[in-house]
Amino acid sequence: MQDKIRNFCIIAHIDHGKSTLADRLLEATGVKLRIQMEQVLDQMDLEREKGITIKAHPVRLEYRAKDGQTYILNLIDTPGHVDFTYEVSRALAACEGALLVVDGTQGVEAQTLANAYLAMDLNLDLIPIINKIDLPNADPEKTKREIEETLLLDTSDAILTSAKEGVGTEEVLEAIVKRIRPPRGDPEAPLRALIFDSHYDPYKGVIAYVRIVDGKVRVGDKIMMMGIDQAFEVMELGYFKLGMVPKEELQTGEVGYLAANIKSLSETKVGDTITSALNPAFSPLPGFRHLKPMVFCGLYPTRNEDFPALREALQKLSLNDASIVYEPESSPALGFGFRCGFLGLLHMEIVQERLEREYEQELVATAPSVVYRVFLRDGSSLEIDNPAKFPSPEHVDHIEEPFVRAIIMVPQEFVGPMMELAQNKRGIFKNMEYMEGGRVILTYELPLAEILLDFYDQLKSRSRGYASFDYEFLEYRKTDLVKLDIMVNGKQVDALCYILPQEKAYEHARKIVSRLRKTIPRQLFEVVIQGAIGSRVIARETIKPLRKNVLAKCYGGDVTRKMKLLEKQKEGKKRMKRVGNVEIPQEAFFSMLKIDTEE
Amino acid sequence: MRPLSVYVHIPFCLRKCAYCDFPSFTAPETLVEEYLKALKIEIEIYRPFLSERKIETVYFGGGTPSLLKPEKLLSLLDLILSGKPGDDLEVTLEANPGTVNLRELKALKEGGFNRISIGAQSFQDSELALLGRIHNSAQAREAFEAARKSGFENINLDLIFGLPGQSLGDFLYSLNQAVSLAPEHLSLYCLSIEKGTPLFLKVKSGELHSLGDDLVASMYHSACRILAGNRYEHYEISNFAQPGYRSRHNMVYWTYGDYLGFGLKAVSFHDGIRRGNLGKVDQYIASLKEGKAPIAYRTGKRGVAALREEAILRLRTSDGFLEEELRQKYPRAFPAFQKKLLALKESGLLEESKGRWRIRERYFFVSLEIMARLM
Repeated sequence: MQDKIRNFCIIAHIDHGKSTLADRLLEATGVKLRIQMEQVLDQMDLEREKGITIKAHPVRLEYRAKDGQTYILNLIDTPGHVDFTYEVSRALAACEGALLVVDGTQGVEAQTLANAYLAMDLNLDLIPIINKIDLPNADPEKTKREIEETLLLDTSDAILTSAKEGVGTEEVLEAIVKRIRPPRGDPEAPLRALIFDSHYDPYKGVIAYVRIVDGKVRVGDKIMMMGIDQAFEVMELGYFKLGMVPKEELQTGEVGYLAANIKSLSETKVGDTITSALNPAFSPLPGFRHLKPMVFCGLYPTRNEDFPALREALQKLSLNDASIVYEPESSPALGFGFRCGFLGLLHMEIVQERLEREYEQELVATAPSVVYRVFLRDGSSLEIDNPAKFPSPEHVDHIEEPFVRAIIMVPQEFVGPMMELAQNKRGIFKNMEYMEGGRVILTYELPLAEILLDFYDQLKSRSRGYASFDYEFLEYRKTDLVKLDIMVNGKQVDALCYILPQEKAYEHARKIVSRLRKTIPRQLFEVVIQGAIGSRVIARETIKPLRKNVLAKCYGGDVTRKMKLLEKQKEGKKRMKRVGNVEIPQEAFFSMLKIDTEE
Repeated sequence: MRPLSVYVHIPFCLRKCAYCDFPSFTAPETLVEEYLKALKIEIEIYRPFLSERKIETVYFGGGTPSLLKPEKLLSLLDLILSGKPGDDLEVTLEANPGTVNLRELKALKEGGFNRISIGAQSFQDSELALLGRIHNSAQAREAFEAARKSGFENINLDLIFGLPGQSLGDFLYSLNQAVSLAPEHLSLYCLSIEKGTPLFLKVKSGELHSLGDDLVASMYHSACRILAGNRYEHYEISNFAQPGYRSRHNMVYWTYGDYLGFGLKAVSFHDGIRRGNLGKVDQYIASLKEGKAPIAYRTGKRGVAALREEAILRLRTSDGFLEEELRQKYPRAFPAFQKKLLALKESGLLEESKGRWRIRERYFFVSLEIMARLM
């Protein structure tokens, strides 16, 4: 049976047609689409809205090939955004091959490269697919040459498809069977299964997504997590169609799920190896590097009394998303909340939206921050993920911040604006490579903190949407940073302090303070906003007091209507956070984000 | 038995003003007759209630009630009072310039009306045109003088400020004109541009520009100073009176007193229940033809909601409220409410002395901010 299994995933730059191709493969192999959804694999509402896949969902397809044999094809979908490179690598680790989908009208993009490199590192069989050939401006030959040039892949047998029109689907299925290796692995060896993802089910506990590498597992078996040395009994096994299909046994090479009454995600670390408790394997599978969160922000309930509800929501959410970390913190300005760590900016946005929508939390989020390494004069050092916790400057010897290596792919005419952008963001130029067809690959080293601000938006607007971008963590480097404190009516607002490069401190302080003046509504008294480094005030703005908010007429007939108006005003106030006497709207805590955009 | 006030709504106008979103319209004589008939039926429905309470104020509002002939107004008034006019009764008529003359005013005075509220709105003809009023400033003055001559000793003038294009000087001119007539009472309303009105459409299309809040606030605060200098008491956000001449009828609204409202879309409030009449004139008339009270909705507030409402209404006035009075009336809800009061006192937004809570005059024009914090 093992030689009839193929495990594969689809990798592509965002919008190159990965999900549509997946749908076609599902249809062609008779997976009935019970619910008519455009893209079957993107389950969460948010995923469909943002047009991206966030979580990897495996699906099992049965395909009767031209050789007359029936094969089991396990498709492991992958996320399509830079933030989720980690999840891509998890999915890849469960596969022998990958379909590399490239939009025939766009050509190779930054994430095509990043994902293809990941797959090559894992020695996967790659099948190049040129998609969207139905479009008049598709240029398959040029796209092939780009793939050959940038990835050194042979494209003579690349498959031309139009996932939208269903062209080439059969060829893709045949290629999966013929060009991707069947899983190796020893069916007689002790069980070794790789956990490549998981989700939490309120009734069954943690559902681990597994790839059986060696041996087999049956319902009722005693199993052990090698990473934590803890034993469980298998309650349910199965594979994925559109839902979960139970099965008595999973064999070598199969992809499926496993439930063993596991109550916490910390007991099923993604990347861990499951083995038999009675006949354990000698060594665990290599797994993959554990990713540390790169981006942190404070999440606070708008009303202090909702703190327990927020904790509960975070607990529940993290059951399904092991990459979130959070711990309680308190801020004099915002009260009790949590410092949360995320894989990237998009991940942070998605978590906030899910907390608000699915868990009905009203949140105030502080500006995102990276983790700084602060070296003190006394020789000790600190890792700081919250600007408010920065030690005062006289104790600091020097500071290090994380740098990333970024690739930007862009048509030649936008090279100037891209280099200007990277320059503004403290980028260090590394390399420029011309591709056939007039596109350029730029390589830069950039502080991660600069990417957290409005880098991506600017990249898109300065290239009229043509630039694509990916990055990976490089190293910590010493830079010249200062902490900007913001005072509102003389009171320091810890949640509004920022870490800035020394050379931009004045300019940014002025912009931040002026933006705050525009975001904070007029209050019943004058509000003074100051930006200061240490005890030195370097920017100041005043918000004049509110002068009019009145119901001029209120007589017998008006009372009901007017009370409704008051209710509305009260609702508006709910979205504000009070700092001292001043009511500060949620957006204010993000005022740094678009610092380079205007003014 | 608590005293009772009565409001009568006369929805007819010669022309609808550009800013008006009240139930008012022009109507043929036949409809007016039918409406008056219906009104009388409605009054009769509440006869038992009317006769068991002491009626302290009656107010004819609109629309333009002064469009009706005096004998019609007086017959309605007689019906309400049913031959037992109290010695201490306030009877007000809203009158628009251009719709009253000396003879009619005299008849009204003799028949029992003792207060006139004149919708002057402005003493600048260009502003009156902008507002879509049917009269000019000379007619406003004539109406006032006619009212005086016919014996009215309690006259109110309505003024509107904050009109598109108005300057502080423009407004102060009108205010001075009004003050020079020495009315016992002045209502100064900040123009609010209501959705769907012709004025709203003009502002939306960019033909007119609404004034900035700072300028409007300056108009208000200047008026407060000028009127204080002329010994007017600023007793409610938009209302000023010479000593002893507050509008007793309106004070009933702001002190959570009982009132019956008759007529189209009129609202009644007594014994904790608020009741609103139908707002379409044909439905209103049809209902009464069948002898049914023309009620569109009833709502009742109790506990915290009632306490909030009463406190907020009372805070519109310079009297504010007495803590002890509300504590006794709402013993269960008051303690939690008091916490909010104390927080507002701490930040200086409410003033408390000897158990009386008030919004300071300087915060009247931002009072909604303060009230929202009491919700």
